[in-house]
Amino acid sequence: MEVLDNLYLGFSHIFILENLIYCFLGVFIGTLIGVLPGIGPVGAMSILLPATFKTSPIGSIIMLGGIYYGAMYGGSTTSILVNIPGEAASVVTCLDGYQMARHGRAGPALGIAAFGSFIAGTLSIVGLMLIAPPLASIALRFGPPEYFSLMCLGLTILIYLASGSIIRALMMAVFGVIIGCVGQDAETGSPRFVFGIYDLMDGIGLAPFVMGLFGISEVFLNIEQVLKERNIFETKLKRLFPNLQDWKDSAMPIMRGSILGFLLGILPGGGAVISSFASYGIEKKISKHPEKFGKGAIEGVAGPESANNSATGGAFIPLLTLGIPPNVVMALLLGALMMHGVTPGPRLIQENPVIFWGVVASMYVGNGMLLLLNLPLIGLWVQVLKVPYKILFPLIILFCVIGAYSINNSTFDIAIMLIFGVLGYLMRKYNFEGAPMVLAFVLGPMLENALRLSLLMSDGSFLIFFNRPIAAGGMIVTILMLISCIVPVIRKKREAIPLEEA
Amino acid sequence: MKRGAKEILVIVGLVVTFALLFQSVDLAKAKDPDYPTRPINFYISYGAGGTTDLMFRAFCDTAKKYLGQPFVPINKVGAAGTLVGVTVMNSKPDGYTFGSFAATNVIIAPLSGESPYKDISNFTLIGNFANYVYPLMVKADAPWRTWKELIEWARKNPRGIKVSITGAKSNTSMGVCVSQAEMKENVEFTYIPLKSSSETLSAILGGHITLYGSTVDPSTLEYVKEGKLRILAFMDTCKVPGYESIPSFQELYGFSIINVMGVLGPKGLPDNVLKKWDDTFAKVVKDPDFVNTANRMYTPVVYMNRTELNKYMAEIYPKAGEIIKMLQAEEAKQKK
Repeated sequence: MEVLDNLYLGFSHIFILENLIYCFLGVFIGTLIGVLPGIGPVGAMSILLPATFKTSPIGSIIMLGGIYYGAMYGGSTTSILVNIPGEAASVVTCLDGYQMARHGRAGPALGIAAFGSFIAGTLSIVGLMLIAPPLASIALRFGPPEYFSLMCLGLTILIYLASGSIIRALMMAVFGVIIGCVGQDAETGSPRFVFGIYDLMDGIGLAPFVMGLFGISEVFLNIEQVLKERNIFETKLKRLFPNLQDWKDSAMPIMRGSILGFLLGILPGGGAVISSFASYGIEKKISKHPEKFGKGAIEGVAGPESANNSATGGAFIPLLTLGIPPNVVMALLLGALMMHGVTPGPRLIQENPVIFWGVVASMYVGNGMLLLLNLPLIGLWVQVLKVPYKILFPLIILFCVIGAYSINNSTFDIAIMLIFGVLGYLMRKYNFEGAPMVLAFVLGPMLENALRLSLLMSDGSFLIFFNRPIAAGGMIVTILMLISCIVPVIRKKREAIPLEEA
Repeated sequence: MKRGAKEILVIVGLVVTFALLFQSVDLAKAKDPDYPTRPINFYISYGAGGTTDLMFRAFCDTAKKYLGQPFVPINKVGAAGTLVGVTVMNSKPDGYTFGSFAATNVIIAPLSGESPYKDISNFTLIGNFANYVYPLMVKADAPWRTWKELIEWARKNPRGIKVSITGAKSNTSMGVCVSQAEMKENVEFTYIPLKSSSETLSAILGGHITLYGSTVDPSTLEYVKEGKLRILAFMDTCKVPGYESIPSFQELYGFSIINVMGVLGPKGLPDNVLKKWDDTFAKVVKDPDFVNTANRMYTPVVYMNRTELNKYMAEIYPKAGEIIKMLQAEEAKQKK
């Protein structure tokens, strides 16, 4: 068994005190920055990057990798407790996680997020270990036309994200696409919706946008209620851990989320964010009780949280087997390795097996550490809900401001966050949902870019989306899904849901 | 409801005040004969982990040895690197704020019309420590063995060559350079603008584009060594060591791309600061650790001191302006 030999090699490098310490440091820092809104893995890793120049290459990648998947663990915490996504990938966790907390089930929500993350993380390492090279070469076949069809599929899933009126969801989606258009046109470089404000040239950042829309607006909304009476969390905190029924409900979402996250993580561009949305959409679609979604369904926490963790494992594949980083975090890892003279590329696994298998082994160890670190913390986190609001809310605002500033060292991002905070507050007052807007904001520019690049490649012919097998497959599924919404019988069923909620 | 709205306004007001205070914190002192006496902020115009970032971090790390004060590298990504330009331009000329100076943010961006600064007179150009290397590469199974063969094919197949540069054609130095070659040879390429060199690498490996026109880093070069990609030409006089026989645009057409990687300060720096930096710069570019790092990144050290760099810029700047104006006119025509 070659894999076992290699794994042994990897573990023999992990179980050195020095590397174990790096691994622990990585996941610990990762959990912390995951919990703090705005401060994401990219910020923390670029601060720590120079520090790793002095360590061994394996030590540095173990630590930086740990920060990345650690952040995915921690990201769900604030989503569940105070409705502020710690990471962009935890936006959907807000939908049901926060509702669970309001019903006194913060413990099970946090618990299932931690267990789901652990299971998904472990599964994705197994995937990384066994099928990395063939998958990487398939990922290369994803060019602009394939992305376009994937994005179409993603936007179709958006229909299932909405829990209220479909018209309102579509309005929000279009609004999200428009906000996503702000900035420089990728092809001609001409500015769009910039209005002479130079800071808008690069568009609106995802993190300040999301923190404002969900977090700041939540604080605003609660201020009204606090003045009346303190009753946001109606019921008392019950148990801390998920019960048997929770496990039964979550088992399949965790499995599906893991596979989905792993596959989407391999593809360049926002794998973790998109896979968490996709997982939520799928769970809601196939659920026997879709009406519970948005009101505290545990599946809506288990699926997306598994998906975003599994995506981290997938993201290592193109980096370690092709030398191509699929996202900014992986680009940082690439930089760290290059500074050490280790060059990720097609020959890395043969020439530097210690790096590849060391990372694999460290992820097993790191995921275990994260579980041990996070389970005792759940008890502590739920105590946060007992902090008086006059202390909690200013603190939330403070952390959001620091987080927004830290991303680009720009005060402009703080302003963006506040503007979307006010907007989000108004949206929620009038029952418009934020989630479709966020997904459209993420997918819109990617969709546009993929469409334009594809048409450049084909010299204007739309056939390019149908004469390439992967692209054609995606388009066909999208069309089928759209048809399924139009067919009257199914349509009736779909409309029955929002009516109930209205 | 009314009361709630009031409270929200108060909070927004407080946060805005807080943010403004944050921005105007200024610890500068009037005179500073023992410069430097505190850490130096260094703004880097590209994201952490890329070639640019790693080179500037290595520079800061080495300069620390000779200046005796640590650097605080800050990545300020965005707007084609011009955000760094703005930050440096508006900073106090006390020697504690510097920025990365790369071809695009200082030379190309001001010329392309959307920039907050219209020329380079707002800056002090301190020096240049390296040059970017831009190879033009095709996949190994492509029919063209040389740049000449590719051009001949392109002549027969207008828009048939799909070239990818990082960013839009008229606002990057790569676009300016490749389009000049197009004009000289009277051929037409199709531009597929991608966002980064890693996106470009995966596009060429996947067969989605035919010509790679971006920066080089060790992992790109792995594919050349493996025989999966072939370099046909370099956009500049600078070549990857070991591939000197491949022609450069300088040799083929007599022009080269503007590809400096240097340090930028605000206008009006005191003389003692400038002198200190001139000395430091000269030492850093000779430091064996720094030279090693640069070679490992395939971005070899190319040193121009303050005088040389300013002379070079005075020469190249009007020329670049003409080319960009021409490209913009061409684009405007196409839009109609």
